[in-house]
Amino acid sequence: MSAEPLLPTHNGSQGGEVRSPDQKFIVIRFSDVSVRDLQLNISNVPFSNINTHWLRRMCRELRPQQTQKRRLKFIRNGSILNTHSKIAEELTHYFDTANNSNVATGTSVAPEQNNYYIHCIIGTEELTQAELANEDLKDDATPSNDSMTTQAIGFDRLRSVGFTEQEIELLRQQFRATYGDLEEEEERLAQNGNRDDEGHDIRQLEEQWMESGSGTAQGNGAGGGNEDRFNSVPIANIKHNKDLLLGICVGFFFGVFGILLMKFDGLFNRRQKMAIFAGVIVNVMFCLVRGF
Amino acid sequence: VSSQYEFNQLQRLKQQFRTEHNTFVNMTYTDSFRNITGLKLSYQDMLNNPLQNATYPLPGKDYDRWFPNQNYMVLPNDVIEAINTEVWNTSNDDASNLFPPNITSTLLGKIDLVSNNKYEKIRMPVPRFYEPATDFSEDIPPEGETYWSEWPSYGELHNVSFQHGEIAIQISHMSNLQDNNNYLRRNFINKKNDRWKLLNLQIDFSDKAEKEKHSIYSKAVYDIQRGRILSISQSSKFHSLFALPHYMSFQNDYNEKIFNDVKELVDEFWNFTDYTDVMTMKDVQDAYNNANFKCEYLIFLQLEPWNQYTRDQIKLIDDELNWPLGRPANLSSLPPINVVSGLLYSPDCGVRLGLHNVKGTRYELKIMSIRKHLLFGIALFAAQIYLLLTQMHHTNTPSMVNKISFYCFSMINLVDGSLATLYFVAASVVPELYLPLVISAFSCFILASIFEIRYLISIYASQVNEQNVGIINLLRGNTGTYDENRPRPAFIPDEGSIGGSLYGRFFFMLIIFTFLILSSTSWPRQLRMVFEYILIFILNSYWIPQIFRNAVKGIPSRRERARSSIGGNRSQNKMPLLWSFVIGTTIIRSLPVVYVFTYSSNVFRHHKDVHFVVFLSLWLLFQISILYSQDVLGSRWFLPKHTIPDGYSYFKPLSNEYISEHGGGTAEHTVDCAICMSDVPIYIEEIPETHKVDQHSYMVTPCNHVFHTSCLENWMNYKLQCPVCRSPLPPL
Repeated sequence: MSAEPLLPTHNGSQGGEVRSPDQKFIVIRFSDVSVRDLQLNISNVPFSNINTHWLRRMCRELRPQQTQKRRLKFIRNGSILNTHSKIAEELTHYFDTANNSNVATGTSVAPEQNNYYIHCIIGTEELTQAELANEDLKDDATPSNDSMTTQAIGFDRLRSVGFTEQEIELLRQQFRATYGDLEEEEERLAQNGNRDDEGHDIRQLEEQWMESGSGTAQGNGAGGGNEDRFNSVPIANIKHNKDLLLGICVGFFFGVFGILLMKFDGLFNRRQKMAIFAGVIVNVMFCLVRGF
Repeated sequence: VSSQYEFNQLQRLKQQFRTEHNTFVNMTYTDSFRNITGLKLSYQDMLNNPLQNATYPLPGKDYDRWFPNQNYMVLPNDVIEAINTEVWNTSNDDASNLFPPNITSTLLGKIDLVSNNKYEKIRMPVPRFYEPATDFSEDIPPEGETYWSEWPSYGELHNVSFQHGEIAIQISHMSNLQDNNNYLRRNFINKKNDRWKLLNLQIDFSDKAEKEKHSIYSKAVYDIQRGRILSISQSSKFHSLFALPHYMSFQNDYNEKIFNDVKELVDEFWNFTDYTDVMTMKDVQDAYNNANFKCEYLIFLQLEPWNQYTRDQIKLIDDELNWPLGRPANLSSLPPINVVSGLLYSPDCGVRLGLHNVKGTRYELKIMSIRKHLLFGIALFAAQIYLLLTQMHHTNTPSMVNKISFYCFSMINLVDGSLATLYFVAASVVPELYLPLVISAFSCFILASIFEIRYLISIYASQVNEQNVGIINLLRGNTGTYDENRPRPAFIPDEGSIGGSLYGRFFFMLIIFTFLILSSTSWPRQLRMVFEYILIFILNSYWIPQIFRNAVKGIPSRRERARSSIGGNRSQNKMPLLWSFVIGTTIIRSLPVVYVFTYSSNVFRHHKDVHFVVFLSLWLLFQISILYSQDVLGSRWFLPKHTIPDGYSYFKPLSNEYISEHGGGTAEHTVDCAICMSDVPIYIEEIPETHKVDQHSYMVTPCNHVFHTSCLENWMNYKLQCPVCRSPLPPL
């Protein structure tokens, strides 16, 4: 087997060999704790050869009974590695910085600094032969950010303290009704095609509201703007009024065309549409008065 | 026509006009007037016999000849002489002078009385069929004629009694006549359109104090070649339409040609409009009223030639004015329509008046300049809307809004609202300016009836608690509900019902105010000026209520605010009005007043009064400086110390009694805060152990509920109501 020279890599557990300072290792730690860490000596392997395919092959060769016919996913820094991941570059960078820091301090290389850790998740179900052949593709197919853990913020946080989904949705509706300009922000963001950020923004605002709800009267100057926003009288809300102004002007000056413009989705929000309607009515009334 | 009597009246009138028209058609230059109403007597006839009745034929009168002198005309010889030598003194035979063909404009100038008692008054009877029916059964109008001396007097003045006055002449062309038969607009273009034009003239003249006003509506003939305008008023006693040819041509040159031209013009007009067929009862009544209440006038005007232009240039200018396309015509340097000399003579009142310095710009130019002013006004409204929105954003909590004076914004709102109405009325009056006027009305309308009213509603809602509370109590910062004798308001109205009542009040005030302003324009000048000055002064005192409100609410000085803002409670102590709003609003609102009072050539024809403007600016400056001093020194600096009672203090020690009654906190000497549901340590007078508790860490409402300071302050930003029992809270 071609991997024969790599066999003495897992010397850590045997402890017999003394590691030379310039040796480089990739340590694969498995999600299943019963599987021992797999240490691969890559000092003599060109970095360009190292990819998920290579890693997978090494795992299957060296830990055959646990990894045969199982799906293997590799994770580094919280993100799944696939064929597009630039492992080679990262490795170079990682070992370069490790060496540099050692040279600068003049100390001997700490063993951890020569270890490049990669996590491996072992799937539970067995894969068919065809699926095994396409494993690389499967990695690529899964959206990389799917596994990004988003911290629950805003009203989502309430889920953890026992609120049901409906209750949270109700709260959110009320929140939007009160501070309705969020809806507009939502649409603005939707136009940018960035739906993720959008949901994020509203939740951030919910978070702010929940935070400021209790005893932040001694709020500092920076948070002041948003604090006012939550306490404000709806009549004085500048966004409401701007919507009203814009809508009425559009309705008045464009007349019936204003109603046509309303048909375009995403051009106006609901409040603006209502104001446009009012503007059209003013327009028609002025016209009637002129008719007399 | 609503009765048989009126029908007969109308028939008689039409009949009379038709007969007279027949006479007119057959009339030649050498013929005299025969039995045309008002022209039966000449001035000489009156000299011969002052009590001569106007009958036809007059014995011994020569009807077959015509000469331009007092034997045949209603004008005395010296007036004829004056017209020949002073008014229409340029014959323009060689066509060296050029006059603009289109002279639509409003001319302003001075009018002087030459004589009001020298001339014999020509007796002009009114046919009795004009008189309204005396009882319902009457069908046939009475026959005969009545004379002035027989008329019942209603105090009208058949004379001009002032020496010097002002005159306004509105000239419009009769080119766009409504054809009443088929309701189609046809352009009335006579055959000799390049030489003769028919005009409508509206002449108003009055003395300077506008105590005596005269107004004449009449048709006029404009001789473009010679720049002459002749206008003769028409009523039931004077059918002047048929006199136009003769009176246009009483100069010695080209007489017959002019006569024939004008006769042809009048005849064309007669046929085009179907003059008698379209007469209505209104014409009958108007003619009768004019005959009764007004003098008849002959108006002779001579225009100044526009010799700096060629004929083609004048045509170009006219085209450009009618339909601006950017033709190479320098409209800004267009000379005014200038009446070099003019004469008014009233044959039946024997009054002779002279004109001087009468001029005005072309109507189209005037419209353009008004349009520019209107657009500037719209920009001002837009700026005001922007300022108001930022101001509303600045005071977005009930306790901030509470500090704003309701009356301050009511005044501003009243002005804006009535402006909107005035613009709207004007838009229907001046069709040429419909669009800019309606946009002004609209921008004014949304400013007043949407944003300002919305703001007023929130101000009102935040001050509902303070109704029926004396000023002293307010100064103390107490809304009065502390006083147990007075029943609490049973309910606090929501914004919807407040909005309803405020809108009602707004429109009511608006209508009253607009009618007052509109009617004031027709008052005598003295009264009008006093009214205007007082009104402008009052309406420009809009910061006074706010100064008063600031004093009532007691906003601390700037230094104290800076100090207290360190310990939190930031939003409670801001000045309620933004400085940008105060200064911007003042400038926006005083600019039009300054313009109207300082530019003598302003579009409103308002007189110039710099003193008043300076006074007004100082008054506004004074108000702003007081506002500023309140900002810096605290809003009550001008009140002596002892007049300021202590406000309600939320921070006070509690008695043991209270804790035994309301206690129930988990720890000792604490109560529950109803907002955060946790304990509030309180200071109890009787128990010394509690004396290390900071009294500012909790608040006691007038209704004896205790909360954390931070909790309640946060709540009070939102609503000035006790969270537990809903009784109103005095603002901080």
